[in-house]
Amino acid sequence: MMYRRLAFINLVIALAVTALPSTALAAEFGGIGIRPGPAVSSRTAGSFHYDARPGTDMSDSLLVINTAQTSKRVHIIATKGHVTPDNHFWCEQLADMASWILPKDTISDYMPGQNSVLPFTVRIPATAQPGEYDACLVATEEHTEVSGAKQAIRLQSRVAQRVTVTLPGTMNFDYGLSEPTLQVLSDQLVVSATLSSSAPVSLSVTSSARLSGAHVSAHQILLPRSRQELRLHRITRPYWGGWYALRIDSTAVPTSPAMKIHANAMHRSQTIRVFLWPAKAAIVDIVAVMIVGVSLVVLAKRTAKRKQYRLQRR
Amino acid sequence: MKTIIVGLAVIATATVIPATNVQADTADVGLRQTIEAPVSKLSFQDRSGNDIAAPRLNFPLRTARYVCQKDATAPSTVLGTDAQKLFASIPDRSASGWDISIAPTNGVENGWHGSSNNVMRISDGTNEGCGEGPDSASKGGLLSVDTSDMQVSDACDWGCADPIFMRRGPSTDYAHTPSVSLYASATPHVGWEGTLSNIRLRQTIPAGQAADDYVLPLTVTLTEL
Repeated sequence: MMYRRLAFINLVIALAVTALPSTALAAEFGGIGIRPGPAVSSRTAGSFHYDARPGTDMSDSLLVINTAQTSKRVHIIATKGHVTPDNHFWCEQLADMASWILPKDTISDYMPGQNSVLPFTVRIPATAQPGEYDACLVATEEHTEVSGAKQAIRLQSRVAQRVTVTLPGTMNFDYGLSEPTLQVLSDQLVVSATLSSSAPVSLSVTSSARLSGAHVSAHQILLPRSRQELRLHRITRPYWGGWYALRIDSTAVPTSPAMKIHANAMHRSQTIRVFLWPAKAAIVDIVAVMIVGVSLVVLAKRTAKRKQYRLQRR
Repeated sequence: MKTIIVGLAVIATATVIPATNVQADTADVGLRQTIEAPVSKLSFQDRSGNDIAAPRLNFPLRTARYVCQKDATAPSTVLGTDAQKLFASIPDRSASGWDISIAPTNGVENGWHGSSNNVMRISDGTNEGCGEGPDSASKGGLLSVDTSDMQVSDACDWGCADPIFMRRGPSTDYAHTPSVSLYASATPHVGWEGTLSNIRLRQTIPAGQAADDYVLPLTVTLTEL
């Protein structure tokens, strides 16, 4: 009887497990997906950043995949990209970079699960001036319009890849590292600071923090003429508390080696003194040592008292 | 005797079966699995995780009035509900991070369009979207995005729920920016997969705005930087 019950429970579990993949699978879906196609020599594998010269053409590709369960019509356009005053990069809505970035098939239909590598050409005008040019390659899903709805917002979703073209030249710019702070996050420390740049091009920034022998570094891209937060995390907290010196170093160079700056690299450094409480384990150690110490003192006093008592009795 | 014969038969069968199995195993060796490089994706999904063909938001009905309807009296709606989730999946490959933003599809200068050709702006910052008074009321109108109660579901490799790694966009309106950032990476090489919900959109209706059925297209963009 017992075995039958167990078998029944197993059957129920098996059925539940069989039914689960439909839910789990749903998480795999999510409309139109994109990523850069196979890397060409002129750019990195994960993004579209080119070093180019005026009057040249470059061929590249974008992989588009329909991860939804329904067929999709996808529009691929190239738009200008901007950085807003509050440092957020955004892609314009309209295809106005068509003279620079030329996708080959602008409208395509995709069956569920279907993908294709979409070729495009980046054509740099011969008259283009040195500097960095931002654009976006945007895949927009065509939605069905519902007519007759009152005061409605029609929503559309799209995915974009930033495209950066850097034309060589020489420039002057200012680079800053300010407002360093240290935040305690359980046993980890997080260093924050503000990076600012007046450069008309993206900067490749390598930053590091050093605190009581612990060292952590990170690399990030700073958008043209922008301020961004520097975050360095996973720094092991010093075991014992006290005052420590925290040193932050940051070096910025243009992402494109074609761009020349008057100083070879822009280096900034800040040192602040921070007070840190001991780690939890250290507090336990301190308390334990104190208890042992007090116990030893009490024991010593008692022993001395007993000794004195024995001597008095004699 | 019968029992012995049956027992011998069982043993013989048991001895033969493993041999057959071994042969089958050796004939078909190895598993193969391909895991593709991830893509960045964004869509509106229903409760079951299926894409919504025509995602939309409806504002509550308002009566045309000769006073400006702003703040608490302005109609508002919520982007991102159980029935219409904003789902995103972003790989952690970008050194510049990523950003999810919302902007009017036709630009901030082109706001609501009515079926009777009336217009209502979304980017008039004068007097909080109320315009300069009844005479210039047709020029008013402001759409604001309130992210203060935005809910973020998260599924990522390490600590992505922490504000150290992710940045919630501040509440703002289209008089101040052409595109509102909702959620973005705060550090490089951080991936995220999840949904955004409970983003409140509020439209200030200027005094004397013509009665009409207005429509506004908005686009949510996921950009890998």
